[in-house]
Order: sequence, then C-alpha cells, then structure tokens
Amino acid sequence: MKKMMLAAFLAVLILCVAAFAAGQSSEGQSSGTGHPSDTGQLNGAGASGQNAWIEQFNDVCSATTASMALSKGQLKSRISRTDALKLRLDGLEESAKKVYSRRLRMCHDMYDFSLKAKEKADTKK
Amino acid sequence: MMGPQNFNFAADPPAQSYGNIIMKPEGAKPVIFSHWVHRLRYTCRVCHFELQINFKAGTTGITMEDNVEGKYCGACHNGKTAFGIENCGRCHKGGAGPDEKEFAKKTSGLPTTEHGNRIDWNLAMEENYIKPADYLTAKPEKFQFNQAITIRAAWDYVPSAVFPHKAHNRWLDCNNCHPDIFDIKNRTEEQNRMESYFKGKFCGVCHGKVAFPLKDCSRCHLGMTNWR
Repeated sequence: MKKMMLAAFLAVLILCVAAFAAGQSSEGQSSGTGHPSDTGQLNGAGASGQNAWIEQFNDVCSATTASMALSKGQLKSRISRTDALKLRLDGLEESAKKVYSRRLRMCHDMYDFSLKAKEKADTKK
Repeated sequence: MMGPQNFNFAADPPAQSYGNIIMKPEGAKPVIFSHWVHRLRYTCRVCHFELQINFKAGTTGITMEDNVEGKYCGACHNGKTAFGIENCGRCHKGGAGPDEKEFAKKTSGLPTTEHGNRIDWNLAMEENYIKPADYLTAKPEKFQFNQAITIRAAWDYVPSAVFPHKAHNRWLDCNNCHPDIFDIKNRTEEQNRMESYFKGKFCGVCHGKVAFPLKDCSRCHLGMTNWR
C-alpha cells in the first residue's frame, strides 16, 4: 500500500514538474521574437472541438499591442493566419461572427499597419 | 484673427454626467451607460476591443440575445462578474445615470483635473489609485511603445501639442486607433487640426466625449493656459 502511494505521489510530482517546465518555456518565447505563433507552429495545435477557432483567434490576435516588436516575417505570418481564420469565422453563428469577424479584420489591419510602418522606416534608412 | 478663441467649446456638464451615453432601444426604457463607473474597473480596451463595442454609440447593434449569449454587456453582466442582465431596471433606467453623491463616493481621493469628470484618469492609473483590468479572457502580449509625437500648432503663440503613446497604451489596444483612425497610408494634415477633433474625428473620437475634453488645452499643449 505504502509503495503504491509513493508511486502515485512520484507520478504527480513528475507531472507537475513537466507542466511547470512547459509553462516556463512558453513564457520565455512570448516576447514577440521566436514565438511559435509567428512561425505558424501553433496553427491549431492543442485546439480541438467546436471552439478550436477561439484558441487560434486568441493566439493570432494576441500581439496587436506588441506588433511593433515583431519582425517583418512574423508580421507577414500573422497576416496570412488571419486570412486563413477569416474563412472559419464566416461559418459561425451570427452573434459570434459579428463580434469576432470585425476584430479579426482589425487585427489583420494592425499587423499590416505595423508591417507598412517598418517597411517605410527601412526605406528611409 | 482666427485662433482658439473662435472654437466653440461646449460647457462642462456635471462631473458625474461627463461621458454618459444614452441608448434608446425599441420597446424598452433608455439605457444610461456611465463610462466612469466602468473605467474604475476596466480599461477602454476591454469593451472597445475585446468585446468589440464600437466607439460610436449606437452603431454596434447590441441585442439582448447577444447579451444572453455572453457577448457585449453580457460578457460581464452574467450574475457572476457583475449583476445579471435579468436586473433590467439597473441599466434600463430611463432617467439619469449615477448621481453626484455616488460619484463623489466612488471617486473620492482620485487626482483631479479641471474639466470632464474632473478626474485625471491617467494619473489615477499611473499612480495606482485605480487598477482597471486590461482583459477578460485572452491576455494580450505587452510591449511598451513609448514614442511621443510632437504636433506643431497652427499658431505661433500656441505651444506644440505632445501626443504620448504611453498614456494611451495604458487604456487602449494599439488596434483601437491603428489603422482605422490613424492610418500611416492615409496620413493627412487634417488629423492634426483641432477643427477635425470638434467634428469627432481623430483625437475627437474620444476627447470631448469620454476622454478629457478639448478645452483641457494644457493636457496636450504643455504650458498652455486652459480655456475657461
């Protein structure tokens, strides 16, 4: 009995350490450079079921306040991901479509705006 | 001579009424929405970006069905975060918003200013008098964009205006202004003109309605005397 309890305790401990390590790793990559979102790695990853699009939406549109910190490549990647997501939102029920389609359009335009600003700054150099 | 003296500054409403929005739905009493009540708890970004409520009142098309589904007002007014939408009379008051007494009680101790709500909301947040939440469900990635833009005034005797990104980033998402209101591809002289703001364009989308009013000259034109 004692052995079983010890084994269970160790299993829970290992799971906790693994979850903590995964969390740290994800935090370290969220500065806008090297974020999996910007390489398309999170496209649908971990998202399943009816609301998978929400996870994708939150992920792709999470950097509108940090868009000036993204590289031109990362911005282009986000722009194409918003384009892809638009097709999914078109199939949503009216209420969700109304809210999220507009915000997706804004988010797309924000990345495009930042991209243009960076291209303009590069031209000036 | 044309100058600030020719501007038609509106008289200040009572402090507790500045920024109040009246919505008149069909078949129900009008809703009085008080910006300051909500601003104490949430940044502008939460409603005007995350929940997608348009800046221009009455253009979002919010229905009770949307609220029931947890969209718009219903995202918070669900009986958990804030009182539930079944308390019809708390929003559909039909009359005035919060009174002077309630305003005084809830804003007591906050830094003051001359116009609008007579509260310096930006300073209140900067100095941690208030800590409004910046998001409901999806935490945004943060990047401090601190660039300040100097805009030369049309008249030599008026000091240049300074636009601080930092002060606006506290309350808003970059996406609230860019590119719909300020677009790098369509930058015009019009966006630097007070006349545009009086028409509710550019800075005038918020300033003069819910953010400090345009007669609070010295908040942008540093060193200038306020209009009285």
